[in-house]
Amino acid sequence: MSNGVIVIRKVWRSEAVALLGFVLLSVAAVALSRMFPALVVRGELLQLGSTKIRLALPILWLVPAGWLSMIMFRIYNVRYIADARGLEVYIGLLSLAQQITRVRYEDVRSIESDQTLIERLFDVGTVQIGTAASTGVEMVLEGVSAPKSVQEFIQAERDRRQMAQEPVGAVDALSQVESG
Amino acid sequence: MALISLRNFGAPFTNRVHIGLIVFTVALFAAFRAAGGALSFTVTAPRAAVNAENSDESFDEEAPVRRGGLAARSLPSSLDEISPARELSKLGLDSKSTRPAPSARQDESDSDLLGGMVEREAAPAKQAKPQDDIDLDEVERRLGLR
Repeated sequence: MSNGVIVIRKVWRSEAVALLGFVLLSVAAVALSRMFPALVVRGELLQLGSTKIRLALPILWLVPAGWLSMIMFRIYNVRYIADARGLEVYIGLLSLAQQITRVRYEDVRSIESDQTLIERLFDVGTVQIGTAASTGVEMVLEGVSAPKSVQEFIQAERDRRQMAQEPVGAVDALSQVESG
Repeated sequence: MALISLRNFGAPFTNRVHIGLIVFTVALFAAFRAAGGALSFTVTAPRAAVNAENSDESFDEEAPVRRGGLAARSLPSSLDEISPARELSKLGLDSKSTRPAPSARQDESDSDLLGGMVEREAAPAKQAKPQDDIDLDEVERRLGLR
């Protein structure tokens, strides 16, 4: 947390199954490249002045490389930010088109957290936030760590603001400030 | 804060997401190397030829001999075993017929003799000149370095 802003990142654990696939693909690429040396393409890549750059490229290595790039893209393409006013979701940080969704805490109507069996093992999950403005889900926080804690945090912020809008809640909040 | 700071070098390692990126990128590079991938830089300047000559591992002076089949031939162990007449007969020449008569040799003038010597001395120079023009790549190819 810095300057009153909490950056909730998508964690690598949320891509555990895909990472397992990356490991298996890497092992298969290494084994097949050693079994079939013809799959390693050798040649001159480019020449810079008097220096020749030669590359030996295992073709099958491109499969796990592309697989890992896809995982990295899914992780670094999104960012979730919680500040004093509400929640912000940035989708498309690595894309040409970027989508920014902002929801104030007092507009939050429903908060759900979804976890599969594997996500429960790794303590990651998805938090879905709905608002009164839309019938469906307004905001989806995918692959966040400790989704229950995120859910409780958003609920607490929403309740605090809704209570502050009510006269009784405002009196309670004022009494808390005075006592604190 | 200075741009070059120890804090900046350590910044990527303070975040677990970035540590994961580093770990999996290293794993990807390890897979690249294990699969036989490589990236090599070769300097093609004459310095590379000098390096190749100085390298005992890459330079094998016996390789052209072996390739030419010279090692398989029976070579004389000493000069005494070499018979000029036998060598000439191998080439299809008779030592008596190729040798000019003494009278004919006396008819040759000094200028002819000197001219012949000059020509004979100039001839190897003419032959040696194209060898100097041979590209270093060609030399390396002949020596079996490529």
